[in-house]
Amino acid sequence: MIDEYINRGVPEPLVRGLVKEAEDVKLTKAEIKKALDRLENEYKDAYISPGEAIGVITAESFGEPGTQMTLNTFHFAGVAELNVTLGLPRLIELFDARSNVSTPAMEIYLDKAYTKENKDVKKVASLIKETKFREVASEFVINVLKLQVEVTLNKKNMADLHITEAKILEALQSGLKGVVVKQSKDGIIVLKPSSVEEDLKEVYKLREKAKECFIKGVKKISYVIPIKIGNEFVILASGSNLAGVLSLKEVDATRTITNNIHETAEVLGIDAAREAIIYEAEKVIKNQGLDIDVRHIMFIADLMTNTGKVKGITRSGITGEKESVLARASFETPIKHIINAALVGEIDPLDSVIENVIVNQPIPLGTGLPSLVAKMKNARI
Amino acid sequence: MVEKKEAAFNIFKHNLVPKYTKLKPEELNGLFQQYNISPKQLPKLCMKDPVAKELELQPGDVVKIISKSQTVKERVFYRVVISG
Repeated sequence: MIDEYINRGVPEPLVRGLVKEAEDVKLTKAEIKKALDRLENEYKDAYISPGEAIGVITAESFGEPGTQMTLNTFHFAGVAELNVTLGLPRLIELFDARSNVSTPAMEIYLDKAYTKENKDVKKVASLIKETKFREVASEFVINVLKLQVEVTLNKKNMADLHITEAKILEALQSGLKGVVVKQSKDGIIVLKPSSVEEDLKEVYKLREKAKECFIKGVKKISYVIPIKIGNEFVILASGSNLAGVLSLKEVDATRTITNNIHETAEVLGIDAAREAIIYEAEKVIKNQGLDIDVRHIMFIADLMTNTGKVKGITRSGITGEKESVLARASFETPIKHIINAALVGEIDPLDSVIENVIVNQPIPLGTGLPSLVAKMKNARI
Repeated sequence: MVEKKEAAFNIFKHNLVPKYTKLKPEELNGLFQQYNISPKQLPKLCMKDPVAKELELQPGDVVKIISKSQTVKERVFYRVVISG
């Protein structure tokens, strides 16, 4: 009986929820059927009718709570020293689909084997964090006579980060091109430019380059903190590299996420990006203590991912792809749009809202829409 | 080399990634008639998309996507593969 209603388009959670409630209060089968019929009617009544301006409703639904959000803008919150942009700036960043997130961050879940003990978690955290050469070196000295850089290693930091000397040498060799890397007997690492025309400037440059040389970890992950959520350890990271982190075998590749939508789309596909937009927007809204129906967020996420690429609500994103010249011109940089349209002789069919407002015609919405459907040939007015 | 690196994890196991099934050519007409649309009106899926690469989809293919949703348990929709 349940399947019958589901097949007719009533959402499964609604039907199952009602049946469960009904069984709890011991309704008879006939009564349950009656209730389900009522549910189906109510559900179909709640359908959005054609011509409803859902975009405007979404805009209003975001706009009103948004005004309250502006008051507590630019607040930083988060666990320990990890800063994450929240509130309106984050929401704007999200819906504009900026490729440079102001505070990139990741939530890294670990494989079951590593979540139990604090020690394991710390080890994985040090594996994920990007380590640069200067973090394991205590001194960079330029030898002016020999035109080379001499680096003393910091043994304590090396032990903390589980790095061996051999690993450092290997990483330097592959990380610094055109440089001869050697280790002298007393443990000092010597870097010498291999080019023929050696001069002091080159050596200075080399020293700065060597400091930033990548030794181990996942690139771009600049900071990690393990925290306990429920009864498992999760690593929060600042900096984002989804592909790099997911490739590690210690990481749970089913739940780990980044707050960079473009990166999600690149690594996991456009539908994952859609889910990520919904997740991130909900997080911001909930964090501010506001309540916006998730359907509005879904609608925006759908719109942003409809074309197969993540497009922000900007003049270079979905607004710039509107069919109508007038609609595009009414958003931003009107003169540019109108001139370009005039140059190629663009035709505006005037079949959407904003362009009809501009030319003072009824807009094709709500009661203005049916004229598209009904043929008024022989009708008497 | 690059492909090997990507194979280190399975994107279809990730919670954010919904279930994809490629529609057979004979199923396409039924779909278009059911919703009275042309393939152009469907949402798009780029060839460059990791999902399209993984499933080796060609332009013109239509995929059925079943994703989890907070409002309805399963949300079914379709994407048509485009080049680019």
